[in-house]
Amino acid sequence: MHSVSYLQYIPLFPLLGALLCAVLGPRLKPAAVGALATVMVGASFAVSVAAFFEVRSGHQALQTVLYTWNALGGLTVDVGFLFDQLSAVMALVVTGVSTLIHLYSIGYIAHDRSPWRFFSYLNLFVFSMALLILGNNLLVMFVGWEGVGLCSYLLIGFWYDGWMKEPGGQRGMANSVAGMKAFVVNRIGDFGFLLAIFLIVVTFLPKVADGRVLDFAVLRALMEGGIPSGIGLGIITTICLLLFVGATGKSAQLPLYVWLPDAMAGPTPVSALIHAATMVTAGVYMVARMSFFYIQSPTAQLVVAGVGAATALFAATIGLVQRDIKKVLAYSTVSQLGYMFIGVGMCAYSAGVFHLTTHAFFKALLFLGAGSVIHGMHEEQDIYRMGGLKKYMPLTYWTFLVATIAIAGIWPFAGFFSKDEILWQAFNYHNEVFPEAGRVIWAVGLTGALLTAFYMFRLVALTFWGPERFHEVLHGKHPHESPWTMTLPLTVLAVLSFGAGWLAMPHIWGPNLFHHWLEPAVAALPPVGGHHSGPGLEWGLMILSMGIAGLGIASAMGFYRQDAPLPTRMKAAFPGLYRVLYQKYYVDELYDTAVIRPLVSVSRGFLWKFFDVNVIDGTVNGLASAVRLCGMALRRLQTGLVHTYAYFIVLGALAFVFYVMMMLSKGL
Amino acid sequence: MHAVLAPSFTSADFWAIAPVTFLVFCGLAVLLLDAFFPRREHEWLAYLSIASLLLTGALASWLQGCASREALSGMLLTDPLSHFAVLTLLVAAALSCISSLGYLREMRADRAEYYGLLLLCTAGAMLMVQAGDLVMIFLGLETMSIALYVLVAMRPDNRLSTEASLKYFLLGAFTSALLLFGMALVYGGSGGQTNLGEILATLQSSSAGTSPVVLIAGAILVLLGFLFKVAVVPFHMWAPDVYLGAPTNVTAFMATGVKAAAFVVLLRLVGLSSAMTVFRGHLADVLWVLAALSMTVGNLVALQQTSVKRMLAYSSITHAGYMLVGVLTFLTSSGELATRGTGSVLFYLVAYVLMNLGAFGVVALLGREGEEGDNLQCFKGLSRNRPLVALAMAVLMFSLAGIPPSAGFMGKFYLFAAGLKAGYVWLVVLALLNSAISVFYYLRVVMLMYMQQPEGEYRKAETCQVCASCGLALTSLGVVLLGILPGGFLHYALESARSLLP
Repeated sequence: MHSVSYLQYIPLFPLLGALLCAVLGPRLKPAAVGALATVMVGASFAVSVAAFFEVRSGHQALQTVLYTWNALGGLTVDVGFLFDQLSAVMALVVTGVSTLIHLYSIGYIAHDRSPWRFFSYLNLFVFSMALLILGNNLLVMFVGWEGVGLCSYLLIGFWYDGWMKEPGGQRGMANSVAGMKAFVVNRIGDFGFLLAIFLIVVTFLPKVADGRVLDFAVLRALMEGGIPSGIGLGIITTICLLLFVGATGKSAQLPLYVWLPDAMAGPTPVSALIHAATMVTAGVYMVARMSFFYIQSPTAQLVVAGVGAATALFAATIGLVQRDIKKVLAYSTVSQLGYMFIGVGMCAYSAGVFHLTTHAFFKALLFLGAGSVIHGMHEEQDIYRMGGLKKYMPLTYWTFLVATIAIAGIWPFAGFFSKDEILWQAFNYHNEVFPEAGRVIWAVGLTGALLTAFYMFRLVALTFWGPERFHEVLHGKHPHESPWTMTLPLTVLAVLSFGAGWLAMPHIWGPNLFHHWLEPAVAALPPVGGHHSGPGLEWGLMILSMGIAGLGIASAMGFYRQDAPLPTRMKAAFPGLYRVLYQKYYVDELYDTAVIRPLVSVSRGFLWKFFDVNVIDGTVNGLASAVRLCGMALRRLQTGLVHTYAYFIVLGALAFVFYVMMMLSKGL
Repeated sequence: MHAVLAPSFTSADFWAIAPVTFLVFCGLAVLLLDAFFPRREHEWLAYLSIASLLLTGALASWLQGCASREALSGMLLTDPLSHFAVLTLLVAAALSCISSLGYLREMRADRAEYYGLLLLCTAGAMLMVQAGDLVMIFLGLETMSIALYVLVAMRPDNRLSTEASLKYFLLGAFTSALLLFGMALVYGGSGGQTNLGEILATLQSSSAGTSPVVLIAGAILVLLGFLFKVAVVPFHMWAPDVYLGAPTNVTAFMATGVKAAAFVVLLRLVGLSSAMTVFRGHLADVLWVLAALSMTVGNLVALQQTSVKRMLAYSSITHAGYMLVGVLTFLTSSGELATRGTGSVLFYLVAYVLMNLGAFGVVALLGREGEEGDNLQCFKGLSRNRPLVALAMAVLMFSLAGIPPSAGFMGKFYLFAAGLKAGYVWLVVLALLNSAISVFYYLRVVMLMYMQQPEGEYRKAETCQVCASCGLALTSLGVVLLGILPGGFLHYALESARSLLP
């Protein structure tokens, strides 16, 4: 580990930006605030690039310890940053994509009431995210983890007095409610994360001499030669599962995914940055960061990969029928996060993190494209009221198409490489607890890929192709292409979505650079003997998944080509299925009935009306008046007369002497 | 006389007393300068005093490196604890000098004597914290107190000020008598010793000619003298009246510098008492009760106050109660835990000095044309008239209430963690409950500043308040800094605390 003195600048610049935007912002022009925020994040990107090259040339991780946060009780925590191969990938993706999205936001948010508030929050988010990915121990990571949660809440409810629009035009959920929902659901996950931290401290503190038990390097060294003696596998599995509870909250996996679709209430750049490219991948990053725990526990691997696979399929089916352009993308994000968890769950960390990287590019691009469409369509989000936009917004269309092909997994776009690597690893994965797990997950993943290709091309077909259905909404106005600050990021991201895949070629084609890069930073499973699959099989599986994707695309194009009657007929043929999917399996309703409503009614009827009013308020008010009475009585003693005071001194002295002497005489 | 002094007065002794001597000379110089160059305004003397306090601090730190641990044949201790206490004192004195800039003129009490006496008072307190002998302790205490009696009466046209001075003087004289009597008993009981180190040695060897009962009775009375100075219930009753009546900048110094000095001496005396094994447990019982009483009584009465100065006076009684938890930990445990107890008291003392100097500084800033600005009404809507002052006050109030990230929170955390470790569970529970109660009256000030409209026209000060505001900024930044980066400073406090252990 090499010590350097500049890593703190990666989080520091955005923090400074957030403060400056908050203090000076109201007096500056919107464009100036935006430029300031963008420059700050850009500076942080530049530092990350410099650090990346130093890691590359030195072949070792960098570390900066700012100071030691000394807590009593044996626990020592450094406020320090770690820049190893894994955090390098995250830092480049986060700061890079953030810079592009900040640039995009300048145009997007220009006409808002308070752009400075927007940029201040956005910079604060980058600061927290940098803490999360660069922290060299679990506590700094947790501070960042909470920070991004807070920023997410603030930004979802950015238009706090507004409502979401349901397709069809009626009022949906209030933005502030969507923010609260995200915050509360995340809190459930955070609770798991906290418990995991506590459990780690309790379990490992006796084994660490200097108390730096939350430090990643220390923990990794402890786990290097297998589980240390005296600690059971059960504890390790529990730690892994509790950490994963945190991950399901932040990364929107079953059963805590429900907040993400509603998080679309926030401005679209926020959806692109926080709810697609960066924050929601924090759970994936955390599992990869704690890889040395996960490789020890087959049960935990099975749970992570299983939940990932289930989420991937489940969310994809919901995405098939949604009408709101951002909702489709939101479910797609949930589904793709599922793929990442399949990867990291099976200890194929480079595959999972690589999918995280490519997904950051193409999903950010899709959201920014959607934002451009919404901007051009004067805030309309219902894809049934779009169509034919290709003609009006060519650049948006072409970049959107690139991202769509990438996410569908067509060679040679980036998504093909990353998704195929995950499926290939799944096919070869061997789990002691459930040996067939790999094949099952592979099959589920492949089905998900079919659905992904279908719903994405449905989205393109309904938005950009076909007849123009927007005339009644726009009242004669025309959709327009967005300004260059918005289309430039689209272009850059399109190039990345197209070309980034070559960094991780399947090994039958050439070196997997990404895998080699990440190798020192993550733990690896020992190779399983007698499980060699030939290149023929790998070729076969690749062609199969391409074929599946092609099938999805072809059927989407067939279904939604100009005025095809097929979707309507399908809807009529299976009305029940359609409704279940459109209503998202009624999960929100289920949670509402099973959890929220009982909770609210108990809180309101018992906790508030009875317990709070009578018991707590009664106690507090009673105590307060008792305290006040005591105070009044004591105040009487303060007569202002010197001799009273002297009496008290004498009385106190006498009591003191008397007590001690009495006790002494008893003892003697 | 030189026959007695000459053999023992070495150059090391000279360097050991050099900082105090320098400060005394500065104090006299300030008095003389005013006599020779009289001016209507005395702010230049304030700057001179601040400079001499800082120079004394620099001198003390410079000499600390080469000093032995004691000087003047054991009369003066120059250990790390002394150094820590001296620096704390000097900072407190300098900051209260800063807060007097402008304030004294607003109060029509701008006199040169103030600065000279403050320096002499500080010199006395310095002697007291460095003392290694009962006689020296008494000498320092009286030098400090006599200067204070005059400082409290700095506004002779103000009834409260004179009354406070008289009360403080009478009760101070009263307890000094008790203290002196106690010292006499210790002298008799220990077989003719006044040096702390030698008393300790006598206690440990329990040689002939000592009388434990007399010694213990003496120890009780000596301790009592300092429990009076730190204003612990039931020896606290002077504090609210005196704090209210004294000019605010003097109150600030009394509540911080003097209290810190008294606490350091109390720690030394308690350390001595812990060597008397028969006495230790009973002393702990008594201190337990005093701590519980101080926290509770101070808090309950503070709730009732409408004057911020008086509220802070009662709250300082409460804080003395919290600090007794650390003293108790030091008294009844040994080794690392005892150090943690003392270290946490020292950390809290500094946090407390900063918080209170800041809070009294704000009160001083609000004084106008001979009227104190200590009524709660003066704080209504302050955030609109003086946003930065209100912000500083809010930070200080949050810190006093013990809300992170602030020095007050970290200080309480260390104190109570040490107390818990030493087994004082119920006392810590009581302290936490009291902290919760105290939030009410601290945050009431914040509420008034931020959530109420100002009453009437805001009166601008006649004098320049830039320097006083800078002092305020320093204290509130220090409070936040100690809350965020406590590690290094805690280490320093623990190192200083180590010198109390044999």
